Amino acid sequence: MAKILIAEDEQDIRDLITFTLRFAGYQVTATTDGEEAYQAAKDILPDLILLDVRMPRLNGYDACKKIKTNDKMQHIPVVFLSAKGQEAEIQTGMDAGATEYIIKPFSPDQLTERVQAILKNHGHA
Amino acid sequence: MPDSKQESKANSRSQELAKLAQFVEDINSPESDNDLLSHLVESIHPMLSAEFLGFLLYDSHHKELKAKSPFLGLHAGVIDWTSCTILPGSKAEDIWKSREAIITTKAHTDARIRALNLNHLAKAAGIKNMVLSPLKSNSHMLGYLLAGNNSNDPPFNHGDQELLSVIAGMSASLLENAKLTYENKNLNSSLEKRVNTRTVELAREHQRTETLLRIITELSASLDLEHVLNRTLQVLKETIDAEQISVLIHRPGEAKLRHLASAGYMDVVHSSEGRVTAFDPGQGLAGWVITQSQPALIPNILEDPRWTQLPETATDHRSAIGVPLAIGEETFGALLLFHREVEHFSEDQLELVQAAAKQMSIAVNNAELYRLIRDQAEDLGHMFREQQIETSRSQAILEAVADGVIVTDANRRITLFNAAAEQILRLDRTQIIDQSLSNFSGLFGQAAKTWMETIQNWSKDPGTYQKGELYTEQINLDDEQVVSVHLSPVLMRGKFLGTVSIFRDITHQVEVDRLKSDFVATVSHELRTPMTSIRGYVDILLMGAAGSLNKQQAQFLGVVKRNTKQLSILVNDLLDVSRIESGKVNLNLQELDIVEIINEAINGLIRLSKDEDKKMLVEFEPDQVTPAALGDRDRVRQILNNLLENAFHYTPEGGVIKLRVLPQEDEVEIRVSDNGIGIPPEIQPQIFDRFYRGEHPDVLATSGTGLGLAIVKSLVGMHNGRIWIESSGLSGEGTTFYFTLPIYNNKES
Repeated sequence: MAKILIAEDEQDIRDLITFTLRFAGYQVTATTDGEEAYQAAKDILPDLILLDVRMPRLNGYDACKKIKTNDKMQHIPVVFLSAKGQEAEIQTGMDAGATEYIIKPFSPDQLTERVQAILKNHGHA
Repeated sequence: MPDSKQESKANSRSQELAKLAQFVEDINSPESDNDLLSHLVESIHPMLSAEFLGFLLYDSHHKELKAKSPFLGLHAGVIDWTSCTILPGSKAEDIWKSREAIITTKAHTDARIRALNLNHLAKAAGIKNMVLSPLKSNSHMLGYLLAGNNSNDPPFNHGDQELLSVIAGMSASLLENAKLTYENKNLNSSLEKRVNTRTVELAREHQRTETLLRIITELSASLDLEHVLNRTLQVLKETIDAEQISVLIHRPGEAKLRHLASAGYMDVVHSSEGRVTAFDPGQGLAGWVITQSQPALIPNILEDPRWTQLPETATDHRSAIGVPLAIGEETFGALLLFHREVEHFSEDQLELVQAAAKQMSIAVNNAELYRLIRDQAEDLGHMFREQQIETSRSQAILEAVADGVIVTDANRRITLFNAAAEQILRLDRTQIIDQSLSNFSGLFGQAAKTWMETIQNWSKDPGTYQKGELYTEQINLDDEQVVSVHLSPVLMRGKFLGTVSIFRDITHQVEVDRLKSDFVATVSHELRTPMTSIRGYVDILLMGAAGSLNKQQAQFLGVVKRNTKQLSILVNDLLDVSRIESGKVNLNLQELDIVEIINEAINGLIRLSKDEDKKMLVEFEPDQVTPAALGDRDRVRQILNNLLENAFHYTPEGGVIKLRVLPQEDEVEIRVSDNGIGIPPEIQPQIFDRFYRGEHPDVLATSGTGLGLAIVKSLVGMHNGRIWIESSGLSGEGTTFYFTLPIYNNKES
């Protein structure tokens, strides 16, 4: 069972993502900011990390960069989930090392579909 | 007895002398030629015992010697036919020129008598003895004095001959005198006649001269044409004895003849400008006189074709004179005189009127020129005043407008710098006006360089200005002030007169735009977060992940889901519009496989069709070779998605959507056709407007923001493409959207 780490400061959305992915059969660890996500990622070394962009303490971009500079974690695909959908913002996310950038609002179906596809690309069944 | 013989001889001599004395006395008072002849014949007869006595006088004009009555002893008939033409070189001429007396006793056979053609006379009258005594004046022959007797009488003796010779000499003198007297008399009477004629002529000449003088005096009295003409016409009217006089002119550019002045029993003109008549130039008597430039003397106008009586009018005029008013070759008017009697005017009067008309022509022409110059001066003055008013009005407007206005002349000298320009550019106009624009390049800094250069280029070579070219620029001044400038040249008939620049302080506007964009972006972003929750949880519920739902619960949640989706589209569209408007959308232009992008869009449509459970047939058969297009992948995708979704929404279930790609010369044309409800022609111009959705109930029933096509049009425009539609507006015939993208060119990469 693939492990997915999520970071989202909005509780409603955090709960939604957690529920959706667990319902789809993944093992989900939920964190509330970038820093917490980084620390958790170091411990559990998830198969996929989903990051919100705008978060307290450490924002998504910086968290991604931090993860990508860690040798043990740089292979882990990172996907942004953000309400910021402008080209420049997407570009910043991709430059930080993200695999994909999903713009809110998204549907649970769509999210599950993307997660499945990315995991498959990274060697998970 | 010699004594008595001598005595009788002396007696006869004294008798002859007495006769002569008596003769001289008798003939001293002749009255006329004829009187003289009969007087002579009567006086000579008692002195001679001659049966035939009379004169043959020479008519130098006819070169004819002719018997003159009274001729004693001859019938009038014989006198009449007795004549002899003295031809040059003839025998008669020899005899005539010899100036000698002819004495014969055989008159009817004598050669000399025959030569003078008197033999018939001699025969008819039975004259045998004949003496022809020459009537000799100082230098020439006047004729002969003929005395004759018939055969029974003795021939004329020497004494008779001498007496005849003396009488002939005296008669010649008398005849010569009489002739001279007669000629003198004739000369006198002819002279008298000539003097009389000349006197009449002189009197007429005098009157004419006097009239003309009066007319000239009147005409030159003043430049007031009305007064001058009235006075002149009065003089002419009195002199010519006309009852009505009129002056008609044809002013250049006027359609009708103008009645300038008149005098007489029908006083019709009371204005210095005259009165426009109903006559066309060339119509009527005046028209004839003007066009023919000839005078007319008309005894009765009612019988003259040149006279035109206007309908519903009548005239009492009968006699008329019409003469042209002309300067050089140019005839501009007519002077007309009338009288109620027929045949009232004479050639003499016509001549006088013509002479007067010459003078009047000069006066009228002068006055017309004066009027023309005065009118032109007035017009110019009026125009000048209008111009002044217009100028001050324009100045006032320019001063009052909120926009800054700078006007430069052809040499880039600043001629106008209004109050708003002072305020916007923070410059004092007193230091600006009349200076060359190039002195101020530093003040506007680098930002205004293009503006300055454009003005410079135009003033150097006006040809660089393209007709319709609009120069607009946004200038960021150093102190964060943003100014927009519109520049246009002032051209008059292709000549460059300068430029006009309109400045507007748009600092505030730019700031407001930025705030608006930020606001829309923030609001949109903030909306997305709650929308994510709503949409996500509704989906989970609908998936049954939180327990099964009854039919109504599922239906209601479906409504929530659909509206959330709609809200999400609206937010996205608003963000797009806001960003496109603020110029924040930068295209990532690249080589595009348009067929691939269309296929992706079709997949999206098929998903939508499944989601909404609305069946739709999509047809797309790409050509084997389709050139690559140049565009932003995501934005072209957005354009296609929008067009396909529109086609899907406005085509009833089971409809057909067709796509085609047609490579053109330097662009690719993409067509999206449906067989849906169509778009009526009258609303087609508005469909690309923001928030426009038309009034079709099917459209209004479909959720939509009315922003889709506005965004599509902007995006196509940003790609330098074109977009248009074709639709009959009839339901079932549907709509075709066309748009183009430039062809990808390797060189451009």
